[in-house]
Amino acid sequence: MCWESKTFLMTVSGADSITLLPHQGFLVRTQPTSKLQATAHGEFILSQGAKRVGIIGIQAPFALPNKEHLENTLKPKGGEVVSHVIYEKDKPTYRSEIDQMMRGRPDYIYTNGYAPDTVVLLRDMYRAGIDLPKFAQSYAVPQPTLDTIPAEVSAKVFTGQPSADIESPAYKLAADRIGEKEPDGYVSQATDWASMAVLTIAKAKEVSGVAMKDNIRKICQGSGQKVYSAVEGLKVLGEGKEINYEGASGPCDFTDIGDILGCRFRYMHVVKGKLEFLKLV
Amino acid sequence: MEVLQLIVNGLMAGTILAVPAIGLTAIFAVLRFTNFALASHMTIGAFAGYVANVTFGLPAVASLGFAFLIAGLIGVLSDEIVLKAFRRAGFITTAIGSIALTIALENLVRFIFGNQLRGYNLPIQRDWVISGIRISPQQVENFVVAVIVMAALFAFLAFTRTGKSMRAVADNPMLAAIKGINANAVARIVSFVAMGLAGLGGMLIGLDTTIDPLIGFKTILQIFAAAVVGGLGSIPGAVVGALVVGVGEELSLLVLTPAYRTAVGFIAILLVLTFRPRGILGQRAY
Amino acid sequence: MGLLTATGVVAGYGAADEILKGVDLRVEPGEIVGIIGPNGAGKSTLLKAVAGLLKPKSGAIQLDNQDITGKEPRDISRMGLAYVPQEHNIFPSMSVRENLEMGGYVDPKGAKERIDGVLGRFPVLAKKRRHAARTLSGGERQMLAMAMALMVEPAVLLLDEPSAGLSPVAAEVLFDAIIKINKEGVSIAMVEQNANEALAISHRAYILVDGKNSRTGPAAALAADPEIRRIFLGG
Ligand SMILES: Nc1ncnc2c1ncn2[C@@H]1O[C@H](COP(=O)(O)OP(=O)(O)OP(=O)(O)O)[C@@H](O)[C@H]1O
Ligand SMILES: [Mg+2]
Repeated sequence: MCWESKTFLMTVSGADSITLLPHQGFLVRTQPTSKLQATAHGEFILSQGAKRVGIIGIQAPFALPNKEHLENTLKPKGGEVVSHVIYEKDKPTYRSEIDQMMRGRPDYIYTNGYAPDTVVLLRDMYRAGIDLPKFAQSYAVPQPTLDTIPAEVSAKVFTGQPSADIESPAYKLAADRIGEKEPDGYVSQATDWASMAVLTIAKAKEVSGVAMKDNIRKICQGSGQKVYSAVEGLKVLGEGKEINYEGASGPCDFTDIGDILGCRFRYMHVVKGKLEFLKLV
Repeated sequence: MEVLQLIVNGLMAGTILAVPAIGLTAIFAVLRFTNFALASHMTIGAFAGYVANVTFGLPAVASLGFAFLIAGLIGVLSDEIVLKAFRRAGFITTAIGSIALTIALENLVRFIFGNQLRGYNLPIQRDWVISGIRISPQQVENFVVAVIVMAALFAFLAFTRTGKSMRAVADNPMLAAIKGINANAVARIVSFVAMGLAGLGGMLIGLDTTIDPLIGFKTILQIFAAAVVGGLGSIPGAVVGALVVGVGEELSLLVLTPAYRTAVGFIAILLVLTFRPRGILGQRAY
Repeated sequence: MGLLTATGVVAGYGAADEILKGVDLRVEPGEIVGIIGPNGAGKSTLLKAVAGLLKPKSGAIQLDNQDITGKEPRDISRMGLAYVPQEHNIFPSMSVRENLEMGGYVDPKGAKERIDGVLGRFPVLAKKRRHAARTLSGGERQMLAMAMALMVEPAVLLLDEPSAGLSPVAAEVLFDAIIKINKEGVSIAMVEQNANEALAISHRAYILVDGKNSRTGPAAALAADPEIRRIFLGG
């Protein structure tokens, strides 16, 4: 384990549990937690005018926490989770599960699965005559999957995903550096790791896991001067000033256990079977 | 109402499930091993039907014929080339060999077609609502196809010389040999028909959903449960077992969370093996 | 030369390949030949070797002057020899009629007429032609097994303990049927536990002991022999 060898780890892991390990500070994660994600999804759903949300999601460790976070976001704003059905993966049909979810009379459906099952859900909901708006994780309805189903089946589908901060100067700098027009969230996170590593080492004046863990928060958060690239950061550090690195993937501010504090989300909607950009929040 | 809807859903699912379950049980009846390679043959059938339907533009029903044919032929070849040699070594060895075979064949499909989900070229229709019960036109079509195929199979077994010789081998292989029935020929016919049914079943499931190389693997457990519950080796048993598993899974939603649906298959196997070790209809082939 | 002759047959199973240690058997046209002997003597093994289910290690078997040693059961059956095993001699889940069809599997031409003929000979079976064979009584099953064998219109019929497990009345009915079949021109070789009955209806008989011929002769003479009476006939 990284903390045993005193190696510093930066990761995109999708599992919330990784930062809960006794890593003693040797780990930061640039991927948002499921709480951050569910909260963002909840706000998006509210922004669409939904009040009664029906959740239908795959059996997975994230199923229950996700529902709780969603509920906590909806409640204060007058929304509620009216039904919550967890289904098993790999079933050829989810008719009965959908019926069960619809018993709560939702006005908005939040799906939480993967591509193979989400496509079954969408088909079955269409057949059942359910025309409510539906939210899904972006990885659950990629364009190739949408191409396998008729456009009317994917009508009113909205997707969300943690996004690189495409409006930030850091993102533009990173894009130029990499030579890609629109680097995705993962690429952005990886460039941020490199930048943070360089800056932390410069700050600590030492290359070791222990130095990294002790100094990372000194360069990426706090009241220092905002910098958007490693080059810029090194210059400012050279002038003896404090810095606050703002990355391509987001502000790169971390909690005590290494979770990212905030990030951008990108929402798409499906129009005539094609994913179209809706908004960045 | 809710219960009625669940039963309808279960009967529809169970009828489709019965098609490959018959294949599994027929192979057991004649060749005396559980051929888990059925899973990959379902996948092969689903993809053969996909090629016929999407690439060649044949209508779905004609493509089903294609699915049957290709899966059946590959079933004969794979039995002849791979499994036949295993059979001398006994039941367990052959069953394990069939698992290895199914992984190989499934990966072959993956190699050719890739991992992504595919859909047949079919309009998707809204469900019909008949006195409060929803039922989809595709389900009804699949149901009808499955029933016709099963009726044809029963007629084949009941009225043709070849069909009867298959039942004779299943019933008493030694006496069948004394009476001059060629067990090798029967084995090939059984492999063809059974794997053809598997391929057809794979495509029927795919017609209602989407297909990917795992389509067979995902359902083999239910199929196995259906065959065991009905009485491994009994063809009417496979039909009954498939309906029990199909309806049982749906009705379980009344008491269990849907996350544990698959448990129903296991519970059914356990119950049956406890109270009726030979399955609901016993091991009579027909 | 008899209709069926086996000379010096050595045969067995796998490692135990000398259960029969050189056995002779002859069946003349029109005869009923009884084969008796203690349990494990090799009586069933002899019939299996003749029917082609076991390949003899040495010795020769001829049917109607043609060599059938080591031939496939299917071919032997086509040449006019039918064999009814001691047990598992019907297809239990198939109907009586279907069993008869399978009995005549090697020769499908004219099967309908032959089925009608055979059913005419066994009224009990005719009544139950649609019933699954497993629902028949023990005696009816033996009848069916014999009827199936008759479907190939054999010259020689091999019966392995046809009366095993039957009540005396059922055995009586069965032996009557065997006599009738024989009268219609079918030669019969019959293994029997019920030595009294066997000798009573046989023309000649063989006594096998430990894989070898022990005594041979006209059935009546053997039945009268005091030593044989003592050992095999219970008195
Ligand atoms: N399939 C087999 N494999 C190995 N040995 C066998 C097999 N069948 C019979 N034997 C052996 O061959 C010997 C002769 O058996 P067989 O069945 O011919 O006796 P039988 O005279 O018919 O006896 P019974 O009156 O009990 O029917 C016995 O010792 C038996 O154990
Ligand atoms: Mg015997």
